[in-house]
Amino acid sequence: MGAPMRLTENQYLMAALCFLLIPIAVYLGAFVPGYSFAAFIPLALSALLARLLKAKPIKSLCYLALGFASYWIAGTALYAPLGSEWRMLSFIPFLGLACANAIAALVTYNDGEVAGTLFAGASLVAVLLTKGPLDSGGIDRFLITGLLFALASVIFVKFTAWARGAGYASYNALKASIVAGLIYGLIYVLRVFDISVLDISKPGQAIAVVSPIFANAWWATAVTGFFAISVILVLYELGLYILGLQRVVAEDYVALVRIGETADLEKKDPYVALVAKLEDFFERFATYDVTRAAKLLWELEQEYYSLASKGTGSPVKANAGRMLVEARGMLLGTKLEALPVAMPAPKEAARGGAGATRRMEPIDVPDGTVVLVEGPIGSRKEGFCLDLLKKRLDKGEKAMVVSFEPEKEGEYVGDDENLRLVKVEQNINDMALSISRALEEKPKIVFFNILYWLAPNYSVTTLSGFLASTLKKLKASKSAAIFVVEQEMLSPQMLSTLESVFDGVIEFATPEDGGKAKSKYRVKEFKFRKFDAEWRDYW
Amino acid sequence: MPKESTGGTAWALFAGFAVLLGVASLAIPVILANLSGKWSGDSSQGFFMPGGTAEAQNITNPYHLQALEYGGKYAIVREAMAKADLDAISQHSQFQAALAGAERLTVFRSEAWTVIFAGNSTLKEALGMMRLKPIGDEFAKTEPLGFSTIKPSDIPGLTITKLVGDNLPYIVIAAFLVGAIYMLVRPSFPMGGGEDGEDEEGEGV
Repeated sequence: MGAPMRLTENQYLMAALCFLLIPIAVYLGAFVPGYSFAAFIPLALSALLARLLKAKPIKSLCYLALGFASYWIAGTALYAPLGSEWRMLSFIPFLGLACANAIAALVTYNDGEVAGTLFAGASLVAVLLTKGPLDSGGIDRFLITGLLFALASVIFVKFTAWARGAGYASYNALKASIVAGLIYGLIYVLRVFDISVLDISKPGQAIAVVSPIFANAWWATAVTGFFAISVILVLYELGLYILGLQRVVAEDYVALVRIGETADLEKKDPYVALVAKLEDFFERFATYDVTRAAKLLWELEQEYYSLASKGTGSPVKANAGRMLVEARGMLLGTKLEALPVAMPAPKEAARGGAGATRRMEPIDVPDGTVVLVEGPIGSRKEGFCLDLLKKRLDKGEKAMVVSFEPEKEGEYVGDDENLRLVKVEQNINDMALSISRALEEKPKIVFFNILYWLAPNYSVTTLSGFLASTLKKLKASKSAAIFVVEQEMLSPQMLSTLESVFDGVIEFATPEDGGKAKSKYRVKEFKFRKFDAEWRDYW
Repeated sequence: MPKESTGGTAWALFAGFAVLLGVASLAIPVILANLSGKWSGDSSQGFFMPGGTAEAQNITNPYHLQALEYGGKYAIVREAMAKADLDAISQHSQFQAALAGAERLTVFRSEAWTVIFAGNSTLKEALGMMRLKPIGDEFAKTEPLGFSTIKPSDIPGLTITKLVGDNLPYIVIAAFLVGAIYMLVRPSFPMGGGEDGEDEEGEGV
């Protein structure tokens, strides 16, 4: 392995190889018509080697030249003279285009999004020179369709970027092929039917006339794109496996490391260390008492939020997030049965102590009201919220839990035909959609355990917008709702902004009382309603 | 773990040769398999176009016409008609009248041929027109013989260019209003914004 490694480190040799493969490809593409597709092989090889180039200008130039050559071959195959438009519907030119797009995907997969975008961007010049399938009706239409063509190429790059394995990348390639196919379909329609001539006074007839062209371009792109990209990326993964390498994708680079060697990555990627700590947490979870587990999890969450707030990206960031959700779920299951954890309490509660609290009627959340329950970790907020749900269920009313792992809350509440558990993904858009769908069932009360992940991952503006939209939906369905959040995970400003969105705020605290932590709560705020702000015991 | 034995250069060469031979033995059947012959077929054929090339030609040229440049205009004629046929009928006075006609679309019809002259058009527009049903229908008619014209309102009728050209001020105003409204309401989009530091979960991550 030593000699090949030394060879790949020789920048002059690598640059010469990368650039010398291009004329070979151009020769095959231009002068050997029967084997023009063979030109994509040296281009793909050169695209693989280009990641070894260290000088950015040389590397960029190489990717631009490779992109130009690839799309030039594809554009030449796609070109059909006026009057011979039927040739455009042949499958073979689409396969050529798919090969060029597959190399773009390979470049992205091998060297990151910037490299892929450079490669795909060169398609604009190539297609303008070859004319490809561009609308030749006028210079503006020619340029617009040229830009659309380049956009379709960039779509393949965007969809392949950050895919962690060939499977994901192929799946994304299928999606990219479908989206890009729509663009190619539009380009083909504009090329075959002149917009100055196509009669649109009867839209039905016009659609019937253009749809065969559109559908064929779309279909051919979807099939060829998926096929070519899948093949090239599977071969790439196979090559890596043979070389004993592993591909690791980060936010701004793609690293190739020896299988099993992640030490260097750990130095670069703080999330890798966090994931390792979380793995350790899971392993030892059974040996921790609740206090220790809550404290450790709190530290891990703080580490995650600190990294997230710095904008640090990582391929394992999502893993870390999911593991934290799982850890929290495990802890929730334990905490609900255990004693509260002693945490710093607000001054008023601590000063008032147990004497200031009274046994009073438990709080209920009226229909159409949305309440935020806040407090430190281990203050049994979730138990309080779920108890409210239980009460509604006992009355035979519909209740709902919206959470990343609702089965944990479900276990606490117990089986009930009126209880609906809604599992949401860690994506604010998907979450909004799931909530809208769930609220169609008109539950009487909904418990949301999602803020602990949303708050550190989205800006206050976005989060407020999301909450405003969700609250609107809740009010429309006349449901009572409770959101829960850990105070420590938010800055005072953010907490204050969040509080302002809700109708009411219930605060939890766990002040020490004779060496034993007690869980207390109070109504901190309730808009347009009279409320008693006294601290109450929660057992 | 036992230490791996390291062979001499001769053994390394032998092993390299064996690998090459093994790979070549896989490549040779592929090369000899005449894949291009086996894979040959109508490359236009597919799920969406089972008719292959013939269907592709039908889709792109449903009335089997062509546009020939003639006398400064484009003559839309049947595929079977050659330029020599046009020359042969060019002496007909009605043909000359059609060719010289100021209208965008003029028709000359004899018992054997129908010719539609597209004036003030590019080749792409002429090719576009020959795909329109009213033009195709002209070739199915047998009369009137001689010179006639087609109203611009009949062919091509309302087009995207015409629609945009006639309503350009409204389109510009509407685009401006949509843009302005978007800019105003954008901050209140619950999931929009895309501000720095936000984590958008990517595909396949």
